[in-house]
This record gives sequence, C-alpha cells and structure tokens, in this order.
Amino acid sequence: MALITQTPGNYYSNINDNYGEYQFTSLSDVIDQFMIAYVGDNKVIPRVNAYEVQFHAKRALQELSFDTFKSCKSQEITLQPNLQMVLPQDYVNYVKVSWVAADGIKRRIHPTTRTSNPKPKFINENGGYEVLATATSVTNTSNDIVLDGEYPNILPDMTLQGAMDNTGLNGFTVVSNTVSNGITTLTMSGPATASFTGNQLLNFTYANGELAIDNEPFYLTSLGNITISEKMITSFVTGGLDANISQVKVGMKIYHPNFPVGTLVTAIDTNPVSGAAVVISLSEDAIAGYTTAYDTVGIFCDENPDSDTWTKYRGVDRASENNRTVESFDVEDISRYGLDPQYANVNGNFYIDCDSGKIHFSSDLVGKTIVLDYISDTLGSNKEMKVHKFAEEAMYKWVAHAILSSTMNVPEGLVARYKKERFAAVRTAKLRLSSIKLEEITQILRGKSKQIKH
Amino acid sequence: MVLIDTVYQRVLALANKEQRGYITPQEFNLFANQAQLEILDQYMNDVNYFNRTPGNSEEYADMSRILDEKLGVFKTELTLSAVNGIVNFPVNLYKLGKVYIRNGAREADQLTKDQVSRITKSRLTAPNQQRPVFDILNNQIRLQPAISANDVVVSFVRKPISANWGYVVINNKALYDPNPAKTTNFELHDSEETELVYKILKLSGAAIQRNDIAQFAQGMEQGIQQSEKV
Repeated sequence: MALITQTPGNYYSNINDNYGEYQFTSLSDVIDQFMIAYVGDNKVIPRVNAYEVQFHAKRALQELSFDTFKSCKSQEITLQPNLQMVLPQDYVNYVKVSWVAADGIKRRIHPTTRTSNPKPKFINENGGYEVLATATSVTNTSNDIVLDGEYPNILPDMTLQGAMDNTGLNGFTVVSNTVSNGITTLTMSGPATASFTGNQLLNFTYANGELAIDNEPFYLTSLGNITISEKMITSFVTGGLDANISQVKVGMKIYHPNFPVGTLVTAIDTNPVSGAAVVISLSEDAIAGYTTAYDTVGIFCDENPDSDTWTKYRGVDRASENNRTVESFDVEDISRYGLDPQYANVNGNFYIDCDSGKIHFSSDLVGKTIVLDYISDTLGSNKEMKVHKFAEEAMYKWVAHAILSSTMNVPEGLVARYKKERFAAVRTAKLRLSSIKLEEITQILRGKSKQIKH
Repeated sequence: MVLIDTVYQRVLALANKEQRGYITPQEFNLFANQAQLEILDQYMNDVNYFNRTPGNSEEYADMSRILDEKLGVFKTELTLSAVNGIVNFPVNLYKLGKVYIRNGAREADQLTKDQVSRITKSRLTAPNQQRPVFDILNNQIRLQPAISANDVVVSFVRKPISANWGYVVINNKALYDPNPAKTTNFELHDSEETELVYKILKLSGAAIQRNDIAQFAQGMEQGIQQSEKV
C-alpha cells in the first residue's frame, strides 16, 4: 500500500496546507507503528501501555530536536526603541541572532556576557532594606499616621515594624496611602491606643517577607470618576491634570482604596471618544464608586522596573562612530590596538534576560530588522509533532531502548543491544539530516588553496 | 452449537440409568449451565497459556487459532454512548475486551484509577483523542478525555445463553420437547461436545453420590485437557 493518499491535484493546489509533508511522519503514526512492530507476544516488548510509548516518543522528539533535527524556526522583528525582543512562545534556545542589512544578508549579532539586567531592590539611606518614613502625629483611636512629607513608596500590604510601641500601631498593615499638600497620611489596619506628636522614624516591610523593589512609585492625584464594578478611572478635568499622568504605563500596578490590591493598568487613553481628559483602563473591577470629587489619590508603580544596568547599557549611543567601532563596551576607551577579537564586531550585541524572557539589544540595532533563529522541542503544537523520515528509525530505537531500560527483568544484553542500535540510528539520522551533498562539498574544497589569513 | 438432547442422552447412557442412577432434567439443566461457564472460563486461561507457547502454522492444529475460533462464538462488539466519558457496561457482558473511540479509530488503554490519575498530571502522557485511556468503576467505563459521543465501540465476551433441556411429562416420564420456547441448546463450539458430557457427568456423579462415575468423568476430562496441552 503506497504512502501517498492525496492526489497530485489536491497536493499542488495546497488544499491541506501540506507542501513538503511527505518528508515527515507524524508522531502519532510513529507511536502506532511502534506498537505494531515492537510490542506484542513474541516481540521484543511483550506488553507496554500506549501512554508509556507516547511519553518516550515525546521525550525522543525533544532530545532529537535539540541536536539532530534541522532547525526551521525563526522570527523577524523590527527593533523598537525599547531595544527588547520577547522570546518566542516555543523558544528553547537560539541558533543565531542576526540583523538584516539592505542586501537581505543576515549579519550575525554576537552575545555579550559583560552586562545583564539584575532585579533592582530598594535600599534605604542607612543601607537597610526597609522603607523608612518619619511620623509627625498620631491621634488616639484613629487609624491614621501623618508623615512629614510625601512617601509614595509605602504601599498597602506593608507592615509597620519596631516603632511606635507607645501608640500600639506596631505590626499593623498599611491599608491606604493618600497625599494632600505634600503630606502623606497612612491609614493602618488598626487604631492607635495613644496620641503622639513629634518626629518618629518608622520602618515598613512587606508582611510576607518580600523585599521592596526599587520601582519609584508615584502619586497621581485628582484621578477622576470611579464607578463600582467598572474597570476604569475616568478623569474629566481638562486643566490642572496631574503631570505624573505621563508616567503611567500599561502594566503598572495601581494602589487605590477603590480597587483590589494587584490591579494593573491595561490601557491609557488620553483622547477618549467620550470627551473625558483621560481614561485609565484597569484589570480589576472597582470595589467602590467615587463620583463626587476629584481628590482621590492613587499610587502607581512598575512591578518590573528597568535596572540601572540595563538603563545605562541602553542609553549609550552605540550608533555613533566612536562607540560602534570600539565594541569593547568601554565607551571611553576608543583605542583599537590590542582589541580582543571576541568583542571585535560591528554588528551589535545582545543578551538574554532569562528572568523576564526577553532579548536585550545594544542601541546601534534600533530600527533594524532582527532575525532570531531558534530551536524548540517540537512539542509546541500538534501540527509540528512530526519526525523527518531520516530520523524515523532513530525514534523507534530510542523508544525501544527507553522502554527496555526502564523495565524490570529485561536481559541486560538486550538493553545493551538497543543502546548500541539507538546510538547508531541517531548518528545515521544526524548525518543524513546534515544534508551533505558531494557537489557542495567539492565547491567548498575548491577554495582550499586560498591563503589563510590570520 | 451443541445439541442439548445429544449431551443429555450421552450423560444418561454413561450414568447407566437402569442400574446405577438417574439424573433428572432439572439436575441436568443446572449442571449443564455450570459446565458451559466452566468451559468458557477455561478458554481465557488457555489463551494465556497458549500465547506463551511457540504454536505452529498448521491449518487445524494451532491452538491459539482454535481457541480464537471457539471464543468467537461469544465475542461481540457494541457501539455505545459516552456521557462525560462514562459508558455503562453492556448488560450481557462476561469479560471486557477493548474499548475504542471514534467508531473504532482509536483504542483506549485500560488502566487503573491511580494510573489514570498519574498520567493526567503530565503533558507528555496526558490522554487525548489520539491516545484515550479508561478505567473501570461501578460497572462503568470511565474514559479520559471525558468525551460525550455516540461512537464508543466496546468489544467483549458475552454471557452464554442458559442451556435448557425442555421436556413434557407423559406417563410420569420426561420426554424431550425440542420446542424453542422450552429447549435451548449449548452455544459452545461443536468440538466441545465431548468435554461437556464429561463435565456434566462428573457433576452428576457427585450429585448422585456415585464416586466411580465422577472419577471416571474427571479422568476422561483431564485426558482431553492434557492432550490439548502436550
């Protein structure tokens, strides 16, 4: 029975969107065929459940994807001024990162290990990790603490630690943080048991033990209307709008008494159809409305702020001649004598921030077409779960060895035999998939008499 | 199909009813059904035994094929409905065979409940429409993924219909009545006639307290079974 089931007419009209599919066998077929040929009475594997074969076949597909199969996956973007590229959804590792010049030829971008994007942690002027503030007054039975200035970095969920024992506020959690005329008032989760006036240094830390992030929170006053159960704040103030509005970005967290903790900004519209001045869309519904005045205050902060390291690296204008040709990242050293060859390239640099899942590029690549060639484990979608016919035998041998070696009471000689057969089959597959053609090798070897320049 | 009257007459002849004992139709019918189920059960053990032996390629002597033919009388297949993955057992099910979804296109593996629980935790092993699994609980097949469909095919060995020697009483004697409303023949393969006679005779010997008959029948029965496995 022939393997082709589609008529030539259907194939060439691409009815099933399967150009070139004949070179592959689906993973499902590999598993079915394995069960037929290797499993059963008087076979090498008398009994095995299909799910075990499925597991080993998928593992084989993953492993072979990493170093035997050809890598066909790539992605192209135009690099924006943020100099970042999000790693593809099915990314496992990169093969090559390059930019494309006007001639369409890819120029390889080299990775750098000399910079990174660390997490910025908050540290106070005393070198500690607590957020410090100075209290000026507390009133008996009131939940409020009046501070001596603006403290947008004291966020709800922070706990007051080791101060104000005399007022009974120690250990209470911040419920809200509002500002008026440059003075911050904190509302705590419990009332004071005594009054206080003067200057008292306060320490705030997160109750869950997390360290504060150096994300420079800021107030936004006169926010506008909030309607209960709606995911937005609408400001109709056309004049005197808080200048900080320009700092609000999508993805920022908002701390506001009318919204649950953890609410994020999903969109900002500074020219809405409704005629309002600004509409800030949020991820959560308002738990209370606010319609009668514009004096409500919210704190906005970036949960994933850029580190200073990244900001500085990004800020260097590497497109200028001096900085571009140095390539040593030491922008003040423009000498070329003694240049380390590993840094001697004019194609820019990148590094991968594993934590955020983004590739960061040097500034000379802004606006350029970036191509990322990468490998996946071929398990991302059902359509890509397929094996090149050159590697089909390697799959069978891999699965057979994996099952035999993980089953009790299998003769060790049989396991060893299949280990050797798997090794040989994988090597054969790799060689075949390398697609070495005699004429192409010959063409390369024709240049063998050229002088090798060092 | 084995004719029940033939078996009854042979059993009576061997029991030598005039001199030694008589087996009533009621007793015979009871023993007949027990013997039929014993033979059916023995098929499963024999399949297991003969699958472990080399077998042969002769036309009429490969025991695996012979057993498959004998069991074929009771093998059946039904298309059933699954509601949220639950399929009720067929009413005449004796031994469950395979379960398929999509009209037989994909076979479901039978697992235990804890195995199903384990494999659903990993995306590498999780059951899907291509590789469904099932476990059994409360006489129900529980498919994973929990599909709702009308094309679940279940293959199984069904229960044999109860054999019954029908009769009418004339002059205080039971005479055979072949009327299908009264008589049901054995469903077993024709080649089981001899073993049926010996099995029923063995049981009858025990019932009428004639050890010589029971021992004779047991010896003959063992002889048949041993010759099959030599």
